[in-house]
Amino acid sequence: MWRRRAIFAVGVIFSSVTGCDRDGVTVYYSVDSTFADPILNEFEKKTGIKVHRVPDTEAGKTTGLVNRLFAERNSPRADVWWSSEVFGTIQLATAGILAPYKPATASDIPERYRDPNGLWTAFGLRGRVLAYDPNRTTPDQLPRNWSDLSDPRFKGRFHMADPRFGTTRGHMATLYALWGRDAFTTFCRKLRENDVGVGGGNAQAVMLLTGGAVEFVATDTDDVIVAQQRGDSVEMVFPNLDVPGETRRILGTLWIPCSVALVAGGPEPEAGRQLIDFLASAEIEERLHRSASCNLPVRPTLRAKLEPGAPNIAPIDYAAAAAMLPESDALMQDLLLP
Amino acid sequence: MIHPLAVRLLRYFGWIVLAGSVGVFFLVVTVDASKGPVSGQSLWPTPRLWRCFLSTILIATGAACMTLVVAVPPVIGLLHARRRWTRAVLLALVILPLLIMPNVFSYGWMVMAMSRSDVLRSLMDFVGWNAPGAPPYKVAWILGSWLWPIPALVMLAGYRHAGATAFRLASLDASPIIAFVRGALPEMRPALVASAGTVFLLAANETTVSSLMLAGDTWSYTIMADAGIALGHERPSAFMIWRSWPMLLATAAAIALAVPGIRQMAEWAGGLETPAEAASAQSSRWAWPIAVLVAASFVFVPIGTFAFELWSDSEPIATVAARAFDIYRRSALGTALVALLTAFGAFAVGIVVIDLFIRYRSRWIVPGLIVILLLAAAMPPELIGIALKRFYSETGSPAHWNILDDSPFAWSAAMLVRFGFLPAGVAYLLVRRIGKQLLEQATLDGAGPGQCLANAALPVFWRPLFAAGMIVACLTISEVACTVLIQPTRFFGGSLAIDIDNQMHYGRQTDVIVSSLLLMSPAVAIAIALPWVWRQPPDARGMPAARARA
Repeated sequence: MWRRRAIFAVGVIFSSVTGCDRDGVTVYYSVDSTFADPILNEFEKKTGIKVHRVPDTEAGKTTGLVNRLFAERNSPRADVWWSSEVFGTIQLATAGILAPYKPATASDIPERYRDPNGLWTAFGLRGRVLAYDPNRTTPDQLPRNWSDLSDPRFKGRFHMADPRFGTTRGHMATLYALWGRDAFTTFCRKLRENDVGVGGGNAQAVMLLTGGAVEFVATDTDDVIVAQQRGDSVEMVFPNLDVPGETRRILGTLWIPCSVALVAGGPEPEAGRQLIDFLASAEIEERLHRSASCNLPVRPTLRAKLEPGAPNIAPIDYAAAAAMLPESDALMQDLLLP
Repeated sequence: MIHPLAVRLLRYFGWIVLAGSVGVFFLVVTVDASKGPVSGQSLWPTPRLWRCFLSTILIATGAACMTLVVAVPPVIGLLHARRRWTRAVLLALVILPLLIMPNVFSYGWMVMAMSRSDVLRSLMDFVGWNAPGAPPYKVAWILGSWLWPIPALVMLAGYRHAGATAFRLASLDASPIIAFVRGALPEMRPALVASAGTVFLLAANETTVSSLMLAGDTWSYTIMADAGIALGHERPSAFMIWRSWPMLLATAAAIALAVPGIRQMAEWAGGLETPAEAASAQSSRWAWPIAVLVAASFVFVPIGTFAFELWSDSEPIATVAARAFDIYRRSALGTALVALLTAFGAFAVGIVVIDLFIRYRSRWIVPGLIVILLLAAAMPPELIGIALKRFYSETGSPAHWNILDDSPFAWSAAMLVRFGFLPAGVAYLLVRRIGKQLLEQATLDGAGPGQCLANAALPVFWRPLFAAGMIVACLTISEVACTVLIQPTRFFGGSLAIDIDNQMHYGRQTDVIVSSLLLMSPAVAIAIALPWVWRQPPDARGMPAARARA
């Protein structure tokens, strides 16, 4: 009897050791698992290369994995970084954590969505929107510009995700880059005076909205579309990026691409390059558009083919916005998360 | 009979497990924290963090109070259960909530609030579930739904040793409920305070419920987000510990309050059997059905919601189940392996405790070890994950096989830091209460420490230790906050609980509903098996000397 138990115990330990699969490529990704996993599964099937996955969590969206890559810089464990946004990726590139690789499948991606040194490739845009419940709010009651949120008439009606993480973080950095420090600081102070709700992720923000806790929320297009498919009463508007207190107009809204990059010094760089080729291909970008995420293609050929009909895309310098991340992070901590 | 060599190997394994888990944790935290906070880190929490702290204290206190109230009807029902099967059913219902992932409860209530049924949604609106200020109350309710078995089990154990006489006396002129509440419970007040303290600590450190209930201003959720920020610092453990000091102080206060109760419980044996009959002049035939109703409602409300939503969905359940199984197959297998490994490690920890008790007559060694394990368990789970990841990431290169990326050992070690106090506490209570005479008799017959352990102690105590291992396995399957930081990159698919928890934030999804039901199945199996496995060890008084000599 004890012999059988001992054999069982040894078997558990043995399979623990051998259950690992050393071959394959390791990808850290903050793209939602619902959309990412089927794509990674297809890569496995096509190439026979095992994909070891480290997904993100709702609490630490993107920032957690970016910090993990920073922490592992001397001994990288990931081969590929696939992010749901681009600002953290640019931070990693600036810090020398990424290796140059220009995927051949991305040659038709416009240059503004590719790093000049080949450190990252971006595709599949998602828009920053204001989501609202049409049963309780009409579009004319909503801000037309992001800067309007500082208006006292919106006091207590607005919620946004934790600005230290994910696309909200990049959004704030973009506003900082476009408006300058003074205007952005004033905007944040007024947001706080307006009792802006802050916390959680974009998906949670939408759930606060559909639960009736708030009137409108800042989120991404895919979170709204997923909620609509779930049967929730939710619509979205695309506010402009006009500078507060100025006549200067910045027409169009902020669209944030996903990004993919090769991690410098990763254990399996060759497999990593193959995965990047796959992820950055037109086929995958089309697939992301056709999924519930409804990412807007960056490729003109795909836009012509799919006719996504998205509102104006504001011309944003993602690198300039990413350079503002430390300053905007500090302001967020001081003003919105005191 | 157990071969002494096997027992010796188990004992060595237990020491390796303790060193590699709790030892590593305290080593890393002490070294990191002793250098002070990280550069630029303020020691004084921000006003927002204080608000989160206060909110969490209130939520955890509310949950603790709720569990004390909810536990009473099922315990009274158990005392009145005369047949073995009625006791087994109710005991399984009592144990079950503790073994289920708390976010499964959250998800069940969330799905109910988002149900396709207008009646259900209206009912949830009527009770104020979606009211603006409701999230903290929702969190307290769900935490109470998860943790009420703890005071219930303490009341059961306490009744045998402290409450029965007072109950009988009070029953002479009071109803069973009044007699229990006003007669028996006061006799076990210190133990109940300890159980409330345990609930408080578990509730305060639980992360997933506040996240799903959209209660962003809670300590645990904020700290979990901070863990992502901490990874960007050079000494992430130091960042976390210097940030967490208010909760660590609250934890120390809760432990201090619990000490008299722990001492009281140390005098009790570790059995789960209830008295064969309630020694009351007035036994109530309604006690058991009401108890089952109360106990079952906390579990079957989310299960019933899941079942209703699946039934009302157009897609066949078999198709959804097949798809869920396909998605989560690898992570389910990996998680199961880790759970088994952790259970094995828990068993070995229990053996170490018994062995220490046999070898050293000092009053302080074993209690000292248990205090260390309790302290480790009371730490924020994120801190545990960060500390162990920091250590094990240095043990090898990612380019080759290494413990962190290619094995579950670091993950399992983290789980033993969190839950290792359970088998240690069980072993200590058993050997202290029952084993003294047994071991003294074996020693008198000339048995050495190894023989005492192999031939006298283990044959008697292996069942409760095995049961404790099963509970640890269940808790390992459910754990999220610590696992997310330590799960290996190249071992199967990572944690099943994390995979499913990530999907829960997107609201009602049939795949996730089915996965939540699948995730409950180990808990159901163990809850049914536990009362049969954890049988009261035989009273060792008068055991024949020949058995100790074998």
